[in-house]
Amino acid sequence: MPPIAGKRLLALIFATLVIGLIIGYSTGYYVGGLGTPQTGGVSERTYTLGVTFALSGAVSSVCVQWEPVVRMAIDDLNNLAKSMGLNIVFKPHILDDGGTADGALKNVQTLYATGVRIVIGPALSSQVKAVKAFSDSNKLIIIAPCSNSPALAIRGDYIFRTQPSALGESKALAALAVQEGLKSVVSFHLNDEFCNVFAQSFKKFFEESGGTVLYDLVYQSGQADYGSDVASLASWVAKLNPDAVFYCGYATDGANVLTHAADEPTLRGVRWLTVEGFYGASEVLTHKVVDFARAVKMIGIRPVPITNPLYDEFVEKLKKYGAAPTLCSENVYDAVMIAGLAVLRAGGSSDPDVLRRALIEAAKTYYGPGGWGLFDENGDRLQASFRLWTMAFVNGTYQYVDIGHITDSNIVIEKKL
Amino acid sequence: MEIYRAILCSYVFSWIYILSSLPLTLSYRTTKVFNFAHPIFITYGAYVVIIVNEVLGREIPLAVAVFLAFVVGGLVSLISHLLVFKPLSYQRVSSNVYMVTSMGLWFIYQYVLYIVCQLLTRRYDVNFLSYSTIEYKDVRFLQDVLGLNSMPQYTITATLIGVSVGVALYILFNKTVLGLSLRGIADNASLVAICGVPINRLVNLTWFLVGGITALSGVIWVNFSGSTTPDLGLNIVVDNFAAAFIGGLYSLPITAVASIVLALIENMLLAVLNYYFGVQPTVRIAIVFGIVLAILVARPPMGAGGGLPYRFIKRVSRK
Repeated sequence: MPPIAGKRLLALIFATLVIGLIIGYSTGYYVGGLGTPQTGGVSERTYTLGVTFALSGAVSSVCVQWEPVVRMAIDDLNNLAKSMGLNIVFKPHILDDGGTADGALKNVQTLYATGVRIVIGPALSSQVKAVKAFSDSNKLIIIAPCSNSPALAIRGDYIFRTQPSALGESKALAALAVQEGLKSVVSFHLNDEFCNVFAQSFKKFFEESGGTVLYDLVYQSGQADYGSDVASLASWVAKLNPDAVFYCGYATDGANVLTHAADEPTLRGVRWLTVEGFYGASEVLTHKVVDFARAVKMIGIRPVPITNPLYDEFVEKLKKYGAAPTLCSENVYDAVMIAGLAVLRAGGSSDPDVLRRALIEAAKTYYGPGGWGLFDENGDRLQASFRLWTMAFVNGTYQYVDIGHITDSNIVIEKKL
Repeated sequence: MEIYRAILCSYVFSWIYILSSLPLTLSYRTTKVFNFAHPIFITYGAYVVIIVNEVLGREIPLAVAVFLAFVVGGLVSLISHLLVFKPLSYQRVSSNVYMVTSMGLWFIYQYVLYIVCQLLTRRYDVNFLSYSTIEYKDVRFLQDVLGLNSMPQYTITATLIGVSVGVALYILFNKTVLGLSLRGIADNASLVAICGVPINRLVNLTWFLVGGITALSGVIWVNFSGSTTPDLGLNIVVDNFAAAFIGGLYSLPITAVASIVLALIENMLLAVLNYYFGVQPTVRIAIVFGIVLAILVARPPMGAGGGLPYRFIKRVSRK
């Protein structure tokens, strides 16, 4: 081999090694960056929290308002970590599940595959039910911010819920109905995990208190319109002459149902009781629906602590992120915060059992806009106070207005309907 | 039984289904493309009205809503044809390819709308992803003048749009050379071409009309329903296609009758079944499909799939 050619070969080998090193380093850095937790730069660590919400589909109008809440909570977590001198940076990985059980399961699997060990969401109890088996078998921690079906209150699993179980809420609503002098009710609700179980529990507690649920009318979700279901409701109300209608639905179907109900004289002649399903949804706040709510003296219940300055602070702060609180917004914030605090407590560990224990401990000392974070033995937020609300025309706009509260057996209506 | 609302719902849905399934049949007859993206025209029609109503201030007049929805629906349909279906026709692909392509097109339109709604929601601080009812100020004026204030506005809107489109289509197809040429293309395109009719231009016009007319059902929808979402077309698609299939993707009168029957089944029949037999409304989709299947078995479609009518073959074999 001539000496020049040998030098060229050596140069070529050297250049190949250098290029290989650069490519290898870059690839390793990038691939390592997908893991959770990871090392970024010399001392900073990035921890990814998975998020799966319905950013499209039937419940998206509520869930899109949660995105700024997540951003706000992540900012607060990062500020907290910085103030403590910790070199950890949180970032969210948000995926859209379309509000479906299938979409939620796919997202949770995707997030797990990318190294995520804590997922905030999904929103609906039916979705939480769908991801439960995967969560349990892979020890993936799920913190659901808006699911409260009692059917999912299961001890020892990896599902945590920052919304209290609906059992206490349905009992409180039944007590309110009795206090309001309502003796008979027609139940009208969506055919889904939360509304079905809430309606069952409400019936049980209401009938134990001497009331009667005369008929249970169920409608299917995912329809374009619910006018004929409202027509059926009107027929039953005319036939059975109840004191009130108990209604459970969400934002899109709720707006549709209430708009049709507002046109129905029979349905304007009875009281309406409802839950937090469509609370905060802007499409419900029309002149027609608010006028209907006034005519039927509609009262809703929602599981939020009765006096909590942190909630008011949260509402103000959220305005800076261009959002207003909707259903479960405060629970979304708390879910992200508790998850982040658990990660800090676990020292950035990705061991699921260490994280799970840290989560339970972190929640014990956390107090946020949704109240005390403490979980019960089933991993559900322990809380027994509720706000009562209605819709009204206030200061030139249609708004959701708190009118009272319930703590234990104490029911207080502060504003007259 | 409180039948009034069920009747109103049946009436409005009849018009919505007629205005969306007649164009589907028309497009299939003329172009032999079964367009799965068809229901997106309803959604786009509704959203054009919503966006203009919100951006330019509340209470858009019906006349403006109809014009804008028709133009936008027509253009979206025409663009789909020019950019997707026409190039495919040059490659002489099978009907399966058209179907899969149109499904893809549907998803693209659907998610474009989602993106637009999310951007507008941030920009205007109004929830475009689930929007409430829109009232038309010129219809209200008409109600005041005619003393029809006790009547829900959507019944008047549906009647005005439905009857106008019906009359216009009748005149177009029965009293004009243009309509005659369109019918000719549907029956025998080669023969019409020999006669010197500009087929390409007329097919373009058909696509425009199909999108425009379908979008008008969205104009009725936003006046009727308490909530409109980007999934509107998705939620109507089953009834929309069912009516067109019962009409065999061929007969416009049978498609119209099928639309009315479906609206009655969904609203009246289910209300009766619930009230007298305790059947919950959750079975709606099963009942609708059961009846559709029964109709299809008893009276097979005439031209779906492009083959000979089943009953015609049966009659021939008997002879």
